[in-house]
Amino acid sequence: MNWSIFAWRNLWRSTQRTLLTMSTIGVTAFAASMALGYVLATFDAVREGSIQSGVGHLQILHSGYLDKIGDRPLQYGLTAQEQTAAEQAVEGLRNVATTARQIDFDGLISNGDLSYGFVGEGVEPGREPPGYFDYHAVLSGRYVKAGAAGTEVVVGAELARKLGIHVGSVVSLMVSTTHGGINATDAQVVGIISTGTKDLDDRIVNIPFTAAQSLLRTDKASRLTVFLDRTVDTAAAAQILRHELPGQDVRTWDQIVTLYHQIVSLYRNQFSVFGAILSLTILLSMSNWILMSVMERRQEISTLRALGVPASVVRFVFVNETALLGLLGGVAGIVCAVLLMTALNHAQFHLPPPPGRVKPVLLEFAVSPAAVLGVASAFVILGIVAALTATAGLLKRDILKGFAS
Amino acid sequence: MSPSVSRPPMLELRQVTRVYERTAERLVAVKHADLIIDQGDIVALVGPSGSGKSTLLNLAGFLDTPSSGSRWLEGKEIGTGPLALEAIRRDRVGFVFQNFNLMSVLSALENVELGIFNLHDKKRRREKARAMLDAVGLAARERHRPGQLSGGEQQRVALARALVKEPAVVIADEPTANLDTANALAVAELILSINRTQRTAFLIASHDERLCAHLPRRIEMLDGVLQPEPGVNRELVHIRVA
Repeated sequence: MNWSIFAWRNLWRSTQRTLLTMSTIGVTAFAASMALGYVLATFDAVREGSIQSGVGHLQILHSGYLDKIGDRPLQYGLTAQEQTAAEQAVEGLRNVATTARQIDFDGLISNGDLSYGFVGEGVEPGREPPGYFDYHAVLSGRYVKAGAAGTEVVVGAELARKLGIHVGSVVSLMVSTTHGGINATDAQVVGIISTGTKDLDDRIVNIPFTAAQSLLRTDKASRLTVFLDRTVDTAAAAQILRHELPGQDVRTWDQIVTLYHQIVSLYRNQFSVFGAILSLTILLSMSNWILMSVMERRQEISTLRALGVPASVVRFVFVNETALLGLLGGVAGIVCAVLLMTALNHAQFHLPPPPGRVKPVLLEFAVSPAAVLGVASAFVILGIVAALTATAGLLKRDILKGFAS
Repeated sequence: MSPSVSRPPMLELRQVTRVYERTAERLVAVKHADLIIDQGDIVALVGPSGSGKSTLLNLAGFLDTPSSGSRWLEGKEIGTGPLALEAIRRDRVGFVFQNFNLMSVLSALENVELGIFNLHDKKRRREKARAMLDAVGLAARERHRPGQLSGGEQQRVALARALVKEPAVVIADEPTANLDTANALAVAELILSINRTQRTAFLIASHDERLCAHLPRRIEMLDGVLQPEPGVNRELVHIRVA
């Protein structure tokens, strides 16, 4: 006897009720899939956004650079020998897109009348992969070039506004050198940039890496940033570099961007609560469906038992029915969600900038096969749990009571 | 000459009593019932409503457990273990209900197959069910679901479902009560025919004289007590009903 076919036909005995319950499940699956797709896309966006905003997949640093506070700038910076050793070690890796050195420093920027503190970054624009720095929207002018004659800078939009400078203006940069002295240079503003974060736009100044080294009178670097072709290769690459460079500090992007873990944790907690509420709703809905079904079919259950069908088989039929109910409703909701997510991704909708940001955020959904499978499985499991709970008493139920009803 | 070996009864109830103590009042539904049904017997159990017929049928069909007394099937005493009772209901007892109790989502053929659901050879199961459906004259309706069959046809399907397992005894509770005269007579004829040809034993509770009038053994039940049985009229089983 094919009890699964029996269950399938029973599922459609009360078509209206089944479709209604299936719709409830479908809407819930749709909501769960959309929410999960958005959350996963957010994880992806934060991860890739962090990597592309200059953090890179890996950073090679002088030991202690991130943990110790030096008396002088770049006291714990990478020495020239360390930079060479690091670059040689990176050459041995596969799937490396590029590497770029950076120098972090700070100082005063002046237009002659006004001076403000700035946060400077010495960059190697020629070595940075295209697209990795698209968080620097160039509002006017251009980004700094490697090997340009004279010192050129790009300035954050807010800082430029406060200083009243524009493309073509000449500013003075004054910094503490790595030897403890003061040094200054004139530089031409070649571009006004926006990072998307207002606070950063209020302070940021980028200059070419070699110009930064000259200004600070050093051959050191803050870090060597490694960009890989694929984020999934990060851990393996880090392991190799740690082995190759035992005296240096090799950090992966997620060790540096601690915010990522906080965001993941926050969303995970929120989604767990959301998921628990949805699961409870569906469990109650399915339990209601199966309880009504059991009540209506009491005589049929007793007949099956009178024919010698074990209670466990009768229970299996009901479990099959609700599992199918959950699967069909869940799959319908998931299919709708996947279609809508694909359409929205294709449409490239942008959301307004979040507080403190100036760039709009692209509305994206991650369509993950694992997530889809997870959501569908959850609804099947909920169906099984509902049926097992609702038919728990079936094993002990008196056959004759079913005939009497 | 070899000595004759007496065959044990198909079903035997010895001093079976069923007491319900669910209410403050103690209700004795069946009192010290003794009943023997041999192979080929067809017994009508008659009596007014509330006399205990259905309770006795439930006890004889192993759907209920007696408060005292013993039940014997094909010479073996049957205990009260649920698994043993389930196996007996599955393999050795057939049921025919007043309301047919067919599965509405299954076809006539599939309903008959339900009687031998534990026969795992699908082809063999289908062949047996088809042969039995043919025996009750419904070969042409095997794909029809119960809702597409008349009351008489549904009861014939139910009869086929009870018989397909080749049971020791068929327990029938008012099998013709919900049928019009033509269908009732057709079902009665079918029961008698099967009893005659296959020697299947039947215990039938019925008020319906259209059926009971033609049954050779007739036992009356009054207030939970089986009345002394009059002589068996073996001739009756040879009378054609229709």
